[in-house]
Amino acid sequence: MLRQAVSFLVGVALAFLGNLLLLRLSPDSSRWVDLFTVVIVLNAVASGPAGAMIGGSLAGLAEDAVAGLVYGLHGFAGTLIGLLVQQGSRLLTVQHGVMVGGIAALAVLAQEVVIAALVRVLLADAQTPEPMWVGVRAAATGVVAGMVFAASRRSVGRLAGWRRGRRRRMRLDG
Amino acid sequence: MSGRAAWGLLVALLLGHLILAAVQVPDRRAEGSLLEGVSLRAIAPVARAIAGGRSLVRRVEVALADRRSLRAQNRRLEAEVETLRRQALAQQDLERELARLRSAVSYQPPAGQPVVLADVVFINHRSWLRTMIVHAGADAPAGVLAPNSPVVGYEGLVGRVLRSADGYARVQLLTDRAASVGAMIERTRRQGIARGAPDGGLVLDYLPLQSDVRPGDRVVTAGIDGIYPRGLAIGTVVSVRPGDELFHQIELSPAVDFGRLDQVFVLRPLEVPDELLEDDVETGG
Repeated sequence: MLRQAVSFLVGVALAFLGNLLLLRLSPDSSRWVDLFTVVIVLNAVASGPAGAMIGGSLAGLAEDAVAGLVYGLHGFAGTLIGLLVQQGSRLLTVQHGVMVGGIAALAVLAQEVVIAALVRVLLADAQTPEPMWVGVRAAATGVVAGMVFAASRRSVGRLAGWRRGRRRRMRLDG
Repeated sequence: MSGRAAWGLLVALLLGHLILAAVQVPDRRAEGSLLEGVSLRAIAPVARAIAGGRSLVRRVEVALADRRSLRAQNRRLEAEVETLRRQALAQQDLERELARLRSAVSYQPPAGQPVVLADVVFINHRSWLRTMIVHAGADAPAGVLAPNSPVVGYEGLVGRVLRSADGYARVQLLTDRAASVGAMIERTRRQGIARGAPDGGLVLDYLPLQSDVRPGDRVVTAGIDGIYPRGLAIGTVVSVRPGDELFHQIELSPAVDFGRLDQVFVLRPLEVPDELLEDDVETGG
């Protein structure tokens, strides 16, 4: 559990730094990719309901810090998405990056809907996000999430293989 | 983690985020943030209820205080009303007196006749001696309340002073059967003697049968008796009948309503030298 928490915090930190880096490279980068949703989805897939909700909440708050909107909107949406993804991953066997990518894309769409609703209720702002950019954002986030998931699975597999080989060599040497 | 705990955590997190967002969102219907606005709108009814309760208590306190105050005020006002009622009665008396005085001012006494106002303090209608007692005050001019001073009312002759003491005077009324006045018919200037009748009325004697006299004729003092000045109203002829001898039997209605007398005027008596008066002249009384 601690490892999961540390991984999540590292993920949030990386998403934060990556977001800042992308913003430095392109001010429009936040329109086409959402690194915090990637963290929320990956954390939710690997956590229980509480971890998913708390992780979604914290990641959302971190996104609020850089989004420039009202603080709490992404936290609210992240909490809901974390729980939905966690509940969905219980029904599905999530083993491939493509699946995680699809979940992340759906999560981005859900997040857009929730935030649009909150903005409409709280700020009385009826502006809806541009569908094209929402699609781009969902797709890009899904791709990133799938790649990160696959990479992490590969890294975990390699690490596990290295550990197994190391234990075997230690036994032979002994 | 149980489902109920998960739901609790979800609600808490969502609520926390909503509150966090509401704190920052400006309220469109009021100053401050949305959270402040929502809080105020939620708290306002409670605050109003509490304020209403305090107001109610305050109103009850005020009502109790007012009740005490109103009792005291009521007692004070009742006393004041009583005082005012008395003052109103006194005022009415004053108004009546003022009316009488106005009438008095309009009264034109004979030239050179000083007048003293006197209150009627006692009047005797039942005795065969028809007299009344008047009070002119201790400061009445000397000589006015002397015997034989004429006494007149607003409407006409009342009588004469019989005697006086300390501002009081006994007055012989015109209707006393022992009273007599030199009189004349105003229309014809025919003179006679008006005197009290035994029944309390007034008759005019010594008018010859051939003289012209009619019911309704006004009778005034003739100024021939050495007591009464000329022209004071005595009464009105009510009936004229032929007498047994040479004179009419004339019944008069007095000009003065003796039942309503409350103030009279006393005139200074005519100062006819005694030596000029013959001993056998009947001057009345």
